[in-house]
Amino acid sequence: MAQFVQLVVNGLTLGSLYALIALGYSLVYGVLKLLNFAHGEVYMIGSFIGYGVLQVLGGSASPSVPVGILLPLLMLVAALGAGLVGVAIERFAYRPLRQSPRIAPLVSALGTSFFLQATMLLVVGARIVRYESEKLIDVSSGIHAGVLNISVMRMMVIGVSAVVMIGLNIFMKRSKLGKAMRATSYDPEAAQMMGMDVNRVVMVTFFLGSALAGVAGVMSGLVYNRVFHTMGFVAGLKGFTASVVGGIGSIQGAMAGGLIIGFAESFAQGYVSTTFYDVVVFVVLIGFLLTRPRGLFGVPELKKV
Amino acid sequence: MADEDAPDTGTRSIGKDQWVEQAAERIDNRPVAKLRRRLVQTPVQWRVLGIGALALLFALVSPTDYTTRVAFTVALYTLLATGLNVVVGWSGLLDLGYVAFFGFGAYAYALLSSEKFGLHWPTLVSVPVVVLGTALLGFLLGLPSRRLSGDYLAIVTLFFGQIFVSIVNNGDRLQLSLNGHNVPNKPFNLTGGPNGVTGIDPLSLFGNKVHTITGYYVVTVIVAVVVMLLLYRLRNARSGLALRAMREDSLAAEILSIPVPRLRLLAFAIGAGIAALAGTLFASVQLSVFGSNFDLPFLVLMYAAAILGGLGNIGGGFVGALIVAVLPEMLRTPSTGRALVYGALVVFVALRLRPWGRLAQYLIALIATGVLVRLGLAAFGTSIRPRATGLAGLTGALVPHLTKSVSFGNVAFLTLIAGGLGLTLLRPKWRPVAAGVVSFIGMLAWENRLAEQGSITRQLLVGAALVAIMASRPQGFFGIKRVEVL
Repeated sequence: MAQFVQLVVNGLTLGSLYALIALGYSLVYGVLKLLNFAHGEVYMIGSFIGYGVLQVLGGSASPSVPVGILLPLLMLVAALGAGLVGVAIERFAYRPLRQSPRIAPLVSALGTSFFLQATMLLVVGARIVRYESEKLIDVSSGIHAGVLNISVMRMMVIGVSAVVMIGLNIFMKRSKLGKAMRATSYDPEAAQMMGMDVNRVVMVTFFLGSALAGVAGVMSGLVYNRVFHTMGFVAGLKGFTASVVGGIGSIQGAMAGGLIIGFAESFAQGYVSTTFYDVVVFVVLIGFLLTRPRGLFGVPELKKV
Repeated sequence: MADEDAPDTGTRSIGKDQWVEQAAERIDNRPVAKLRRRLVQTPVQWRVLGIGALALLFALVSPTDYTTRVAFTVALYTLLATGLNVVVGWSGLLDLGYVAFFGFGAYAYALLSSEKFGLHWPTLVSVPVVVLGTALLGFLLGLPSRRLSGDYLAIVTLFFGQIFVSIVNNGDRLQLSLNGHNVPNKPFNLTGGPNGVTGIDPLSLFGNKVHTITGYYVVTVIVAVVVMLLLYRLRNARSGLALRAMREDSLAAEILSIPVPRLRLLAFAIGAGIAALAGTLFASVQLSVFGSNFDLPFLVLMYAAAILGGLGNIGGGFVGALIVAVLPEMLRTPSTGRALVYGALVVFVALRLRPWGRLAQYLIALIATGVLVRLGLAAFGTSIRPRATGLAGLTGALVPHLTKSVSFGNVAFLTLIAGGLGLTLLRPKWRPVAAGVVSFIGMLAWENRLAEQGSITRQLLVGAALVAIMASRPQGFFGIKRVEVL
């Protein structure tokens, strides 16, 4: 039973991160009908930015600001940096291709993703850097009962993701920009005719999605303590799978999909195999594509001729 | 004196209007244009055969094993890029698991003909089995996506590629822990994990074992030529026409009762089969295979090869493969890399900065930045070690080389990215000056960081090239332009 609860907690942590990444895919897909393959790399860069800020502020062993300020600061800076990277990607890799055949932006995204990986490989090297978060927050704090371990970091991840997602939901429903984003996703041409600056909406979308990935990157660095230049690839794949499972383009769907993938991976690790859990996630993706290709919350796409 | 004002009716001089009128004709009569026409009029089969014959001749004149090996790489990449072309270029399907099929072919051949399980299937049995088996795998993988848009296919195949690498790397201890019970009891070693599969049999054709790299080169060239000729036949056959119709507009094709889902699977399976064929060649020439041979960088490299050469063009793969395989060899040693980079810069400047005024602006900006950076570094008391030999001596006078400081090169590189991107946003008026500054930063980054990291520089170039070519010429150098009807 304790193992089960532990797996649920692990799944929740992992799922929250995947949901944050999936949101980026969904937001962008909703507005541009474009798969942003380079999204995983934005997550990776966010993680590195957080690490850099941490080092500038004295490192985990002796931070120059209290932990209560440090962690939000890391996330904020990483969100900002990742957001800017996302906006740059859109401006230079996708915008020139908006009228091209569908395959062009996908290839461009592949190139961007590869370029960003190589950039980080050049700048940071092929090593694994560690946040050493155990020095920031004592490992013994949190809930410990028998085999059950719920560290403060995990609780923080779940809490922050929940807050961010609720905030995003309110933003999309209430704010003017959120409305503009929904309108653009519904019909970009009509939105433009109503006087909306579609380019600005797209920019905001990319900024938001990438900022969420940046936050996810920092939190993953804090919880899993491993940051390396290819970490974005698998995380991006899982995030994408999550958004497909939930219904691509749908915000609630991305959240639900993230949790499903997180649980699938966590339970696969616990009950099936500690090395081949990726395969289980893949099977979930294939299963969804076969039975319900539009995902849980997706609307079936109608094609006009 | 009215005669002098009358227009000259002779052929010696012509009026301006006539000059303009005859422009097209004059361009048509240039030797380059004539050669080009001649080339275009040659049937594709003869062109492919001609290039193949030249490639075979190269085996005779190749000076060292090293050059033959590079030529082999070109031939192998050509085969791979051609296969990718069928899937991406003809059918418009984004198959991002292509390299996994390549790897699957390599591993399947390795397991069937090696010391690993003591199986030594003859080449002429194992290769067809592997190719057909991989084609079937491609067919199965395409099934769940056959009714979905290309995006889903892309992600499913990308994920598949990742799964393949993960299975291969962990395949030395295959074991499931189902609810605490281990199945099977002892871990099963299928793929050798990170150690790969070694001791693979060389190809043996009609009783002759192929041992030398020259032999493999010849075999690969012949295979590539045969595959291209077969593909050419397919291209003009009913299925080929249907494939192209599907690429242009799958909805319209479907209305014309073209079985689109089935054709997608067909294209997919053909691509997988060709990749597997290349995989068997790869495994047999390496005599060993490792999971790391088949990861994302290789996939991107193959896409670069297929796209640079031109999607939809059968011979395009060769051009792309040539660029992709030879370029990294030139970047391997810093001196040839330097010649390449500065040569490219000079050519670019000479071609793009046409009026002298703009060129002067560019050069002044370049030199001024150099002087400023030097002064700045001197002010901070940094010791500067100019390089002194050869071409480097020329640039060393201008471009500081700080051997000790890696971060200086990194900063220069990041500035280069920002500057290069910013350059595209500027008004044309300011571009020469900005280009001068950016070029200097580029030299700085090159001298201090990129030159010593040849393999990373190659990755950066490939990635940037994919983005740039998509933005400027999506069909590649020799591709067939695709018109999307909206």
